[in-house]
Amino acid sequence: MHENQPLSFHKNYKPLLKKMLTEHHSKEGNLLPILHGIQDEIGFIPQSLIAPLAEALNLSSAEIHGVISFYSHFKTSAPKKVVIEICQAESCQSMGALRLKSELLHYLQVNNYDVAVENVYCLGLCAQSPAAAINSKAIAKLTLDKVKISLEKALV
Amino acid sequence: MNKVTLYIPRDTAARAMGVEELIEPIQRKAKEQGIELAIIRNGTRGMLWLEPLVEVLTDQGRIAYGPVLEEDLDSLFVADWMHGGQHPLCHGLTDEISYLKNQERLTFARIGIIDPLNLQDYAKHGGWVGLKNALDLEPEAIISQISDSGLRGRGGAAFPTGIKWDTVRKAKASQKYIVCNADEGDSGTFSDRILMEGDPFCLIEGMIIAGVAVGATQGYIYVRSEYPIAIEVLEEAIKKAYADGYLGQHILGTNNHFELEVRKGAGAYICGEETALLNSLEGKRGTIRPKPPLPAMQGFMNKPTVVNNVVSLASVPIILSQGAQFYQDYGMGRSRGTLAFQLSGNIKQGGLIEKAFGISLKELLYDFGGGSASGLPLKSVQVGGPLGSYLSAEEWNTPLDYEAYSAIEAMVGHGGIVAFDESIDMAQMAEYAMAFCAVESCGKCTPCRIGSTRGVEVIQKIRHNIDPQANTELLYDLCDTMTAASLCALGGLTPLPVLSALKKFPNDFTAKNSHKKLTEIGAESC
Repeated sequence: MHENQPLSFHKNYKPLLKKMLTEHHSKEGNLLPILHGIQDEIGFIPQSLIAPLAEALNLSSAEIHGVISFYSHFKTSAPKKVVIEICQAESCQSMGALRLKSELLHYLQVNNYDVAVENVYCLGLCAQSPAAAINSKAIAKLTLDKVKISLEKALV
Repeated sequence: MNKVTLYIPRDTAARAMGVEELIEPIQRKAKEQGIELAIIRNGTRGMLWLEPLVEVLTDQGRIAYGPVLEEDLDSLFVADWMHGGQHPLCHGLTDEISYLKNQERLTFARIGIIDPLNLQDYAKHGGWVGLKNALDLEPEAIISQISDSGLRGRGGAAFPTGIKWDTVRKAKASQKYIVCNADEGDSGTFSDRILMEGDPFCLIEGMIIAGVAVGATQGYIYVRSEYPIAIEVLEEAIKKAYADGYLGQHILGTNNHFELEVRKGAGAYICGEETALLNSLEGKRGTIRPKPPLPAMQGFMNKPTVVNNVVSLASVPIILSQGAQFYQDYGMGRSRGTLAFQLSGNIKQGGLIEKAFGISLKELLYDFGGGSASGLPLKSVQVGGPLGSYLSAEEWNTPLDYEAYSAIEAMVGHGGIVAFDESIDMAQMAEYAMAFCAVESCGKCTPCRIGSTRGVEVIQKIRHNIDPQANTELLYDLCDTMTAASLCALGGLTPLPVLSALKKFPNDFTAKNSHKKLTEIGAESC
């Protein structure tokens, strides 16, 4: 289990689930909107909601788990305070995204930052490569200096 | 008080360069100079290397300044940019900039010019004319217009849009759907995003026309989660379109109905494939469905469904307003109309270039793009996304036309263009193509799921001089299997970038790391 989980593990998420079920009740194929709704509120999808969600939608827990695990966007534990999504796709590679990522990892390690770094494949900013998103805020023409500035802001 | 109108883009491309941080200091400094500001948040003009591009409205027209960063503001105000003053960042009248002036903006005609969320602005610039014309026509006549225009799917597959629509129109069902594929996940593409953020009513209008033509009353726009601003703009635009009677029951007082909803993807590249997208929309894992049945017969919830890309649907209003002939007058051969080329990667002037089919890569790379960003010579260009071929310099004169490109084993696709300078190692890009396929495979079929992982391993062996000849043969064999036996384009087309790199840049595949042992390679790839 994730080290951040105990903080939120015993919380009662049932009211949140109920709210999302009501909000998306009439939609066709409403599982993704419900999962997004939950994650948008608390940052992840708690394990404890899988069984009640399955029951409410007349699906099996395995089916819900299958959907959550299929999509990289859905998280099953609380995210770190700062998540850096760095693009590693072709266009960003053409502007040195691989080297930039290793420099970034080195910088974070040396300075002991507890920050999540995840690969993404395209943020739609290809003409301004390389790109990243820090806590979902996109940054174009990325440099290590730009990351440092955004990181300081995000950690405050 | 002195009044000045400023256009400051709200597009992600400008925001990612810090445009939001400019607003407050601009307002403050203008006030100090006794200027009353009207700020219009437009879409991007598509000259992305100039973002944030701020335009000042003058008697002569809109004057462009960019890229405007916070530290430039003092000198800009000293230069009296509020009245079009000269400054190193000034590019003169925006419409006269050759990058823009030499384009043929049809689908993207309003982008950057209007306030994307202002219905009056949209109507004033030709909006809703196509819909009004369509409402006066029989469904067959609407579809004839689309067929006669020659419009083919702009998402990459280039399937004739009119044929797809007619299949859905003829299908008998209690409910039909229009699904817009806005899961623009290919590296080197951003035209869908720019359109959704810069002219959302155009997409909405295209979807309503599609609904009227095929008899569908429900539409969905499936947008990738990486595009939060596009989602925000679309949702706001849909709300406004409902309020003004363009969506909902009895569109503009007729007997046509159309409901529209935005759905958010969840970070799966494969959902850009239409059948995976439909599964995702139904709330399932985004795995591929074998075809047939085609989505046009059994799509969303097994009902007849039009699945079209954003730019395809957004090209519909201008065809209906200007006529099929107007659109089909652009282009060459069987590639009619325009394509929104997206110039990116290692390029000096990246951006959106809408041009008629037939332009060459060379013109795009040098006349528009100005060559590489690094200053080193360009070596290779990937056209059509991660599943498109790499092209070497001798192929850059081939006209961008669907058929001319398939003749050279390449694909125009959605017009995404990624440039690489001579520092690129094409063997590494080939390995990456396989690795990307392995990460994004939905897992449904073996050639794609297993083949991609084996592909990474085989290319690593070639790169490390481990029995290169036998392993190269094996790579060809593997690519054959993936091409012939994969269920969809992900596994089926991954061999295209891989083999094009191998055939055109063989020197990059000769070992540079021959001293390494196989166990070390294994450790590297973990």
